Amino acid sequence: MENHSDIWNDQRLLAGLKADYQLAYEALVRQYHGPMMLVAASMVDAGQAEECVQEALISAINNLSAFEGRSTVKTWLFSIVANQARMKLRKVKREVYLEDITDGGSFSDELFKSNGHWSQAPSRWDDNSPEALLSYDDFRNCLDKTINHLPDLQKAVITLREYQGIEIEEVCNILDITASNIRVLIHRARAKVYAMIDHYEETGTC
Amino acid sequence: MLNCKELAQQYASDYIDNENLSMKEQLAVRFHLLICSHCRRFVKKMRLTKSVINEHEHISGPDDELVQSMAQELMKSRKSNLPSDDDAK
Repeated sequence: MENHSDIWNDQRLLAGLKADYQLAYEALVRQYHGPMMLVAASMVDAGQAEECVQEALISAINNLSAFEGRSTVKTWLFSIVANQARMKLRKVKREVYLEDITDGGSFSDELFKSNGHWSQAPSRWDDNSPEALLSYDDFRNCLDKTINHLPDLQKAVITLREYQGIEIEEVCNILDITASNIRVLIHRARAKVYAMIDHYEETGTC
Repeated sequence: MLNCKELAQQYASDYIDNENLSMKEQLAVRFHLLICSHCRRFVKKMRLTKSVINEHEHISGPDDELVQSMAQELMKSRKSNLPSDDDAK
């Protein structure tokens, strides 16, 4: 997997790219290909997503002088790939994509009584810290599986907002959704992971 | 007055992220948590869920072979788009 000590910051990366330094190109791909794929895959299917990422990277390295440092490299790359994906996004898919935001929920009504109280007390988890949970190999596998099975748009939002730390307004621009869509998507993603942890704590399996 | 279902379905994530809630909504959540032990436990679990997600970066990067081949392709593309040295001679 990734060697995190090899993360190139913007300055180092740009200098290396402009100087045609192969390791810089490798760092660019290694650091950004994955997240860019998730952004693209939230809008188009996987095959097209791969195309979008490649086109976006080619476009970026041929326009390095256009990147004036007004944003970070990652925000810049995410915007480019999102634009590529949007161009490929057919009208029908766009409607389906938006439905994903309005349908479905987080914690189902069944968990509650008609007066709005919990039907059952939320269960207790034995593990009290993220370090504890993440220390178990099988838990990490369950978590990977759960996140990989999230709807694409939820995955993209979690990636951009929670992992990449991108500001909500930028995430809105990149994915072309509203701030309140983002809040809903984050909540739903967390609800799925919460349910997985409940199950794991109870049974030791995903 | 908000109830457990509203808290769980609508307010929980905003509350633990400290985002998006008006003063009134925040106070309503806090007051509910004061009197509801079920929701206190729920919110605690949600906070843990949030941390677990944030601390476990799950994205698998491209494998080494793909990294190399893409890097080379990008370098070629850049070279073919720059004015060639030969032109300058």
